Amino acid sequence: MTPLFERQVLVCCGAGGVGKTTVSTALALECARRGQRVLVLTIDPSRRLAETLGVRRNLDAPVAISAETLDSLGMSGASLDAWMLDPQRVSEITVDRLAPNRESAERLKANRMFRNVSAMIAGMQEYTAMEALHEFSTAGRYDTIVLDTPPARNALAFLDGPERLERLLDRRILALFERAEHTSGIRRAAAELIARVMTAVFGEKNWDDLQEFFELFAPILEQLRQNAGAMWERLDNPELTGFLVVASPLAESVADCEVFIQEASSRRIPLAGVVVNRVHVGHPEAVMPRELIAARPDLRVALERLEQFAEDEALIAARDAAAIHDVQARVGANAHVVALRDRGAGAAMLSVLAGVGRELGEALDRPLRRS
Amino acid sequence: MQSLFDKRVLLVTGKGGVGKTSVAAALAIAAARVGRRVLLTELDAEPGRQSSLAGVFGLRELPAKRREIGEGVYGEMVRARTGHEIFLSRILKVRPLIRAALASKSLSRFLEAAPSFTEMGVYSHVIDLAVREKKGELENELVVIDMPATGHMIGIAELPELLISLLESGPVVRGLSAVREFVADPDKVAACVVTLPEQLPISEAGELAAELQQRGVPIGAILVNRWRRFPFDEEQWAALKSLENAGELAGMHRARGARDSEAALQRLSVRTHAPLYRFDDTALTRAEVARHIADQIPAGDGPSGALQEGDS
Repeated sequence: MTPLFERQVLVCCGAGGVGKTTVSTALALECARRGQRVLVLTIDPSRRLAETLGVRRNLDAPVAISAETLDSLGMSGASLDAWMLDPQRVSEITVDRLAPNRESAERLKANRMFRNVSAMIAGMQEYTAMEALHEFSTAGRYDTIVLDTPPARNALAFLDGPERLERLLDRRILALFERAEHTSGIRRAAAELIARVMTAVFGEKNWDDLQEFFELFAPILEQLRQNAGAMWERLDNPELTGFLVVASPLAESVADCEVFIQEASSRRIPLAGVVVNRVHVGHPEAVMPRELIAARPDLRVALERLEQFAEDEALIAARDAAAIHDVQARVGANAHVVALRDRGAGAAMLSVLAGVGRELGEALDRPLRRS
Repeated sequence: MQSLFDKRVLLVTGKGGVGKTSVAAALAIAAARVGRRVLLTELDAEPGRQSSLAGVFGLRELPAKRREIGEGVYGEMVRARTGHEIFLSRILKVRPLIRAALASKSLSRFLEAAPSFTEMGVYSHVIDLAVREKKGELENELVVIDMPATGHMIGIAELPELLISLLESGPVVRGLSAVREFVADPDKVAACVVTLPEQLPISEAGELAAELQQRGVPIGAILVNRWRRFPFDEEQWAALKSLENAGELAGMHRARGARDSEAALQRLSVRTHAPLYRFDDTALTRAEVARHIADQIPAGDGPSGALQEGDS
């Protein structure tokens, strides 16, 4: 099988707040360090990460991480591009590319409903991410694309995105927006009733705009659906793609991760590993404060107080270790489980991320003990 | 500052993992203890899935219809569909139209597929919980909402704005303008931003608070979970640090965190004009944490006493 770091696409899934973007960036840095030409693609990134990479958001095309930055990381000559996009911007770029002609592209982009399309349509962000992935992975400019999936409530959102959009593309729903004058007979009577209800709910002008929006956008959505279908076929292939799910050691996150693992196996998603991020590690070699009281009776009060903090640390480390154990039990021998210790604010520093990347690299390179 | 428990709606928010759910439950329990008719709910519940909020009261999910879930606290699951019904019946005065609209499977599928409309339904339901009356009295004096963990909170806060600018006019806009006014009223609504005494969560809480304020949502309090007082004077701290030089000393990492985060918390409180409430807890179960925190909220007028500071 193709080693993980040489596959064409690495997809990072995970719920919001687990540090998915941090892990994606670390992975991309590691791929670049190993000599791949890498693109890291993120939808709706935090301002901080864009600043870290020294990249502006919402540009029309990916930009290269500067040579100085790469030099400072000891990665001279590496090739790493980043593209950080607002989902609305991706939608516009997509419309420009897929609309049948310029005139309908401009009309659609001027439509008020379209101007909020990413907020209006569930699954739109996941779809646009797929579209961007589809475009770059067929263009051949990059050896590896790391996709940081759009922020979501749970890790599954990315897998579910296409299905959610599918629901909206349901013919019965699209029929709601058909203009009465384009129909006849019974369908015309139904369309007129729907128009009365919709006008009452949305107001006349909005109803008009909604109809125009669906008229212009439905064919583009259809194209998007086809491209996404083609992309999914490649994402299923473990020679080309690796999925990583990022979690935190908290109970909810572990449960979310479990759901993802189950789904991944039933949908034959090539799950390469689970990254448990922000883990608090214990310090077995550290001295407990109370052990020092005999030697330093002058510091008794301070050491007793410090003991409380030491107990907190031990409790949290034990809780996190249990969570990792839990994840390992669920993953079995089929994928890696990598624990990354909590870096605090250091996670916003590129040098720290490069280190995290190396750590990820070493862990994911180890052979799996398959049964 | 008017007590938190005199508001009508508390939006409990914060990044994932800060103990937001425990704090939301604790606020509701504490409010019930001082005699408020309080309803606790959450957004984003998935029917059939274990809800961590309901778990605090030993339930799998919140009840579909308002009822007591324990310790004087009432619960009701918020549903987009219920909200759509409430919303439509409010804006569409014509009864047969409402029935036609709700009976249309395609329309309800569309409303479910378009997230703004789902959230609008959720919103309508929440507002209804806060204003609903029974025999001329408010059914719920206080509604405590456990908000979704991620950027979603912003989504909910900006939703009326988004839809108003999107739709510009029409019945939906008139309905939403009322919602927007309600949410921006500092006498009625307060966002409670939950955080941890650590550098990254504090800076994330600061960003969250700033964005909420920018959107006109009043910040009622900054609540610090898993807090521990920094208990050393300068001399003791210097002595401990020199001990640490001789070899790794357990507890120093968290002690240092407690020291560094204190100043950052004070700055956050000043910047948001919101009082700081600190709760200590240890790594117990969520249900225990909620009660442990509730015990630290003295009776009388909301969280106050020794743990409160920066009241303005």
